[in-house]
Amino acid sequence: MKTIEIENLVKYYGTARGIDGVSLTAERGEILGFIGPNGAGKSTTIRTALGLLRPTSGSARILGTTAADPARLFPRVGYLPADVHSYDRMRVGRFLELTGRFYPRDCRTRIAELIELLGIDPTRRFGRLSSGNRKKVGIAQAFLHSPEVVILDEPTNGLDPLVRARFYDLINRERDRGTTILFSSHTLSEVQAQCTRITIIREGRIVETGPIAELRRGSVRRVTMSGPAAVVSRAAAIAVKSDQMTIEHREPSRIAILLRGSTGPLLATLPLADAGDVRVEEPSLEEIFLHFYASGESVHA
Amino acid sequence: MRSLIVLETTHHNREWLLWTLFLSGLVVMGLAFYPAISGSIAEISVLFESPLMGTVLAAFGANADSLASLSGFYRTYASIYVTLLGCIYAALGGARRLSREEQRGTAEYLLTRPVSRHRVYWAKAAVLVAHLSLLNLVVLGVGFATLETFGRSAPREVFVPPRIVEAVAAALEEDPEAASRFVPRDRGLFDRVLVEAAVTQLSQVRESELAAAGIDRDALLPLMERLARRGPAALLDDVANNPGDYRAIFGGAGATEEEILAGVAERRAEIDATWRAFRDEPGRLGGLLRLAPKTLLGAAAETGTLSVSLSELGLPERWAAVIYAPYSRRAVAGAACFAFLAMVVFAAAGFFLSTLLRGPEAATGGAMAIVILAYFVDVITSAAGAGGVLRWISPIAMISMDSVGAGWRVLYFIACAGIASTAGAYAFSRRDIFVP
Repeated sequence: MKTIEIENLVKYYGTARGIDGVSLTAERGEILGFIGPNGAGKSTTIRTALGLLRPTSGSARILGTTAADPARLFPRVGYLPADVHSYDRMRVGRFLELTGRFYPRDCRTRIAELIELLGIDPTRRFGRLSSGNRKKVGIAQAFLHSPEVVILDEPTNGLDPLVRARFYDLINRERDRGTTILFSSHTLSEVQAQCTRITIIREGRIVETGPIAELRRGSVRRVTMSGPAAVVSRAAAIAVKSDQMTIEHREPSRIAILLRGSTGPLLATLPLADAGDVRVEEPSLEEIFLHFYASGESVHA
Repeated sequence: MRSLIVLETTHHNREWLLWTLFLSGLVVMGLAFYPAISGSIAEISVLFESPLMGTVLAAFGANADSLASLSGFYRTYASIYVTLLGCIYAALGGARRLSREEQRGTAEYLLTRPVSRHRVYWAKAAVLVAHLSLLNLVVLGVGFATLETFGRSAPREVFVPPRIVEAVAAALEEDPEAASRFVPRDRGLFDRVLVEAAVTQLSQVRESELAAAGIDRDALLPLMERLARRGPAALLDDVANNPGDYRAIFGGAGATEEEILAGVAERRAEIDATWRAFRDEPGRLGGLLRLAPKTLLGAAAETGTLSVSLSELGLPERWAAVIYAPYSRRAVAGAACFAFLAMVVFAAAGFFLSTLLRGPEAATGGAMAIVILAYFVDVITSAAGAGGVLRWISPIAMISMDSVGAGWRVLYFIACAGIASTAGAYAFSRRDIFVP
């Protein structure tokens, strides 16, 4: 069952682009990684879907309702903003209690659990908290009403490894209970372990979406050669001409090329006698991700 | 919804308390300062008779009476400080309470709760109106308490400048046509005129003159009291029934009862003649005005004919404010109600601006500009006299002590506040929420 359905969502700030036709979906009981570099439009997508920003066009439905009806939407949706803000003079316990009172159900036991799990000190004033501790309060307020959809905008920034591990536990348990979690991040490696499926956004457009396994199977190889300068420059010339290849790294006597499909055309052009050391390997997901971010191409041909 | 109200009140109670203490302190200090200046009222009141100074002082809401009576002083003082500062508090509150949420990022939190933007907006507006009404109630209560405390040592009477009395009296004698519309000439008013005239005349008679006429001053005081309470006709009846008791006053110590009764009959005829003259010959009003200026001018002001008559008589209309303002606790409370309504209008304007402009700085700047502009219009219209249509663009100019057109003014305030706040709610429900 699709719980998040964003279709062709466009948001312009005046003439400045926010996002330009973002579509994504998430299923019940799934953690969807939402990956993109800073400024790609992750937060804009989320805020537009939640109704904080008015879309220029397109639609976003969460659990079948839109943000036009907050009284029906938000009892079932939790949201952790990228920067957690609250009332500086208010004590954390009071803040969570007042937040809980917005919802029809009794949230007190859940609040106590979350305070325990995340190691929150409820007696401290929000304004005195470090950014990591604010993040913990933000996580608690996103989960305290047991929502069916939780949207987390860069949730692990500033969390120490211990709390991060507990947070992963929390979202995995929530997923197993059938909660949909949208997990936005700018680092793929962190999402990789938690998600089965990711969506990649770049410059306001979705460039990639699908299961992580498929991204791996994208048959991208890295060919690293080291040898005489003449060989290296010939290989570079071939790589530049082909739209299947991109130069990842180049030194006078060493070159690394990422290529899709067969390595044959590249290797065939090399005189075997001159070819020094040739290594063909499968790059890590993170490396593919970083590389294609920079160039803006799709991972798939 | 309850959480919204709790969040909103807990975050603005401190600001409210500071403003309330500040304004209450101003009221107490101002009124405590009054007895020090009340001694020099006679000299100061001359200022109000000069056309130039009178205009300047009127522009700031002051008139002779605002110095001559404590409640008048309170009104002037309150209109300048409490109302203006209260309006600034209201405008700042309206401009900041929404936009600050956006500036510090809590708007993102509030608007992802299960409440609509309209609810958030109106809950905030309701809390601000509650804060404003409480502020006004506390300041008014402090004002009354202080009036009570300092009121005993301060003169309470309405002050009527003698030169103005003379000018009005002369004009009434010259123009019987206009004089006929000056006051409703009924018996009740006539009796009050006689009482004032008697009291004034008596206070001007020297002790030695009374002694020469064989009249005991101490015997006069209960008589005057009875006169003031029951009116001249009843008093004369009393004298006719018990002539012996009044020997000291009617006809001297050696007078017989017949002489006293004859004197009473003479007085009665005299009063009846004066009454007929008062009723039938408007030209005689001038003479009576010199004898009982407070009663007649007060009656003209209360029936609303004073300023109209002044212009008919070719006298400056602004004298109406100088001559008489019916200060009372009720009037002070009424003015406070209008001040509260004006504050609500400014709060609504602040809300509206904050939904149109981005950031609290722009909104507070705009809201302050509106208050200052309104105050400026008030100063100009007060200096120019009535001010006419111009007054309607300034809520501050619409606050005033008298109850002229009270219903229309209440409607005006409610309409202004309603339009501004509804426009703000609409704009807020459609705008992008920015996050710091």
